[in-house]
Amino acid sequence: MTNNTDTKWWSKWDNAAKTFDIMNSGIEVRYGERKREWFSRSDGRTLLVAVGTGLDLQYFPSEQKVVGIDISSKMLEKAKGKLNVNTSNIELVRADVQMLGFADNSFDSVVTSCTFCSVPDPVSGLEELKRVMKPGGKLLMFEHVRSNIFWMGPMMDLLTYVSRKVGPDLNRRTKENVIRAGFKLKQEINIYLDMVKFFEAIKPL
Amino acid sequence: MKILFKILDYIISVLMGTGTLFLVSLVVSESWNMFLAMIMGMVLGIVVLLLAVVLFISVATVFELFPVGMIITMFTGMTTAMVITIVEIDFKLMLVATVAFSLFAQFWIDSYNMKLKGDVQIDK
Repeated sequence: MTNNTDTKWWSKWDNAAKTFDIMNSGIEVRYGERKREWFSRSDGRTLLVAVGTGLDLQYFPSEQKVVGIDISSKMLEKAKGKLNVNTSNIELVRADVQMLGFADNSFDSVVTSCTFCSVPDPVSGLEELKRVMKPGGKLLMFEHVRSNIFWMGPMMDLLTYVSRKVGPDLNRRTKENVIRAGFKLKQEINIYLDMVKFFEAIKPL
Repeated sequence: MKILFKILDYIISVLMGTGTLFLVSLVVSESWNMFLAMIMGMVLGIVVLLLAVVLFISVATVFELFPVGMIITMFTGMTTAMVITIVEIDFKLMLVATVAFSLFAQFWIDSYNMKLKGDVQIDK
């Protein structure tokens, strides 16, 4: 399922599934409406990367075709529990973003929500997303990244040694990774300081 | 709703500051070496911050708690520990100073956030 030498790198996410909803409830309460607004820019067949326990599924209109992927089967079990008749257009698949089983040019949009803080090789993951996206397709991201504030960045580097044992890295340079993967960055919005951001990028034609 | 979250942020900040003050006053005494006491003060501050994250995670985000929390708890912890090793502390005065500092730190982070918030210029 993955090229990563640690074949069980996702087991921490299986463990995190138990407390994932409560750990993310603050984000949903505070940023939920902004995420809904941001994700509403997606259209057509949409790939939701790292669907987790399905907290973000509520932000898509019921008629939108959404394929939600996650590396953790425990997370997906919880996400399946959140599906109902209004979410019949949602398909959940266990997959690694670094090695997707979808055909080239098969999605109109891709949405990520606090995803690329956890992907072991973010550039290869983003390149895979570019492959499965149609030319001109939109990549919409809600991500936390390494701050450039002089005291915060080094602090985030230090804390990452601990945080990555149980959850995400805190010091990812996602904007740079998006550009390195070959996307054209269209918009970047700071949501909280310079560490929580929205990105919109396009797969070049 | 936004204003309620803002009020909550200030309350959490004050709780983190005063929590650190209480914890450090309980653990550190005037017989401690000042340098060690300051290190212990910062460590205890981080403990309070982590506790605050666990307690308030359902209404606040880690992103918002950590930056201001680190300033408040580490600085309060370090300063309180230092003061304890130098003079006999006036707890009431320390409490007032801590509350004022916590409110100021939250206000400073909020103001800085207002400056950074919004569209970022994209290099073409």
